Amino acid sequence: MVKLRRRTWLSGIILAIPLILVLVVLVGYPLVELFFYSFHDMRYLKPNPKFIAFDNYIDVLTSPIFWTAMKNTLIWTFSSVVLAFALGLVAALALNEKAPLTPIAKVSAILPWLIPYPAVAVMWRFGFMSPFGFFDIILNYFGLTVKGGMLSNIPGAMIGVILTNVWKHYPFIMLMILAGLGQIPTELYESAHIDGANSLERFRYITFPLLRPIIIIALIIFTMWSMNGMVIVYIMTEGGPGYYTELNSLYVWRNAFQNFDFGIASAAATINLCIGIVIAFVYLIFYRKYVW
Amino acid sequence: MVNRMKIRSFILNLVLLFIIVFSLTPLILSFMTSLKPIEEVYANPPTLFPVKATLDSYLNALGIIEVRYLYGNPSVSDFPKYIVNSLVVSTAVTFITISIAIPSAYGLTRYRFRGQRTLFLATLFAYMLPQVVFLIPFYIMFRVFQLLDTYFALMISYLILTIPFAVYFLNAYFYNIRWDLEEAALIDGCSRVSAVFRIILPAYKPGFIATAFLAFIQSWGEFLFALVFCGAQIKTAPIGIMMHVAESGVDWSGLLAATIIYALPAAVIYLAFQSYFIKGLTSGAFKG
Repeated sequence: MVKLRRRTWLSGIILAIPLILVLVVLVGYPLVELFFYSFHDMRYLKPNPKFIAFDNYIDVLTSPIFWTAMKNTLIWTFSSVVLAFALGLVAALALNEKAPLTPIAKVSAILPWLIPYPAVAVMWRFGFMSPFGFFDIILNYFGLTVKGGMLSNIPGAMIGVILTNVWKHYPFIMLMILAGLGQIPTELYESAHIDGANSLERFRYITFPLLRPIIIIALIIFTMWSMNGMVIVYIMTEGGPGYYTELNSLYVWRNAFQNFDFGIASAAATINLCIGIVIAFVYLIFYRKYVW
Repeated sequence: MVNRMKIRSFILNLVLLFIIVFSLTPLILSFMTSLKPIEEVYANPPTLFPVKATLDSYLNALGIIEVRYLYGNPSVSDFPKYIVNSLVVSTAVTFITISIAIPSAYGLTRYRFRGQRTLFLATLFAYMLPQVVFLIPFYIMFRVFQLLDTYFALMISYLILTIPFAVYFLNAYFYNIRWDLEEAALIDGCSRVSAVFRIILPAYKPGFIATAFLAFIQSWGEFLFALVFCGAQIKTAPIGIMMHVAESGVDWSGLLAATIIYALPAAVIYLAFQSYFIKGLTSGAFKG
């Protein structure tokens, strides 16, 4: 078999040619173009753009809005990941136990994950609307009236979009951890039980170490989704009020398609790309460590 | 001991109840709102549940009866057109993705060639890149080729989302397939190609179908590219919905009905293929 495979290495490459083409033409080439644009004056896409060296980067890095967006992206990503992880872990551990409510809870918990982003964002945007959105009604009922509605309120808007992101994604973390829990052999727990380990010790010394690979992979994937996920924020607040929920990716979109300065947008996108590459590398390192 | 068991099961049930309430509340209450006649949405005091439930909003969204906005004249909803656009784009993307990803993943797992690892890592890498970095180069490219506001712009751009994921997913899938069948076929004098068509495709259909549906859902739920590359001609369903969101006095029951109609197929497909999807993602985290 090995011999056969060696002899036919050419067929392997031929089969992969479409993939190579996609990666070169649709992924690699656009990134080169982006890099090129970021050094040119691309306002209003006038023909023959002028080379302006680092001016776009200087503009971006001295813009307070860029730094607001950066800060917001960090807050949004970090809070989403921490909350979704906490909730996902608790939910997975609870669903792993047998109780009358477990089957219903399992199906309900998966549902948010099944709804496409735009639909999630529209539902929650409506929910937060004052005074007729369902979430606003519930908040009012508990005496937590938010003036003008959650999404036009200063801490409220950020809390609202993060809550939506957590709601949408905690099932993903939960499902990953549940799948991991299912792969842990029960004999391990039995022998630990015989050795006199209590449930906390069993979690600390068996469950957690064995789940670590899957948790790390899930967290990196979700971090990436959150950092790049502007759809929820775009639909719910469009970065508002003011720039209070502006994210990195929204900043790119706004500069290109609202201010029509494609040079600045490209520079900002290149910075995003660098951050993305760092996360991708971290992912690849762990992927190689655990999978290969 | 009995007491501790009781506390434990009490906490467990509390957590499960919280999961159920937290996950279902937005869905149920959105659905309830979509059943309200429009006057009731804006009723004072606002209510959570409809007093007079009606399916009018759904009939509106499907273009069966005319839309009655609070202001202006009634008109027939454009939503069915947007759904068709979404269907056309997603179906085409699915077919292209499948026909590129299956042979590529097969080549990556069943043959050895120089640069194979690099190619797979590059695919993973492409999957991890922020979508927004492609927005500007694609926009300018489509503008030059005059593809903006056509199906092609969406189909081409969606491929960079679906193909890396499909290859990654199928790669894991192929790894978990035993080679015996294929080997036996080859020893019996089957050519590679006929082995693929006679043995592999039929035997591993579920994995391929799952991949196809996942690609479909990815395109169905895509928003950012559609937002920028669609003009007046070909809006997809989420863009069609979004256009009305910011309007004042908008028909929210109609909008939520459209949202639910849009979300339903994706949810059903996901539910059907959920176990495959999780397997694909988790096999990335477990050896073997």
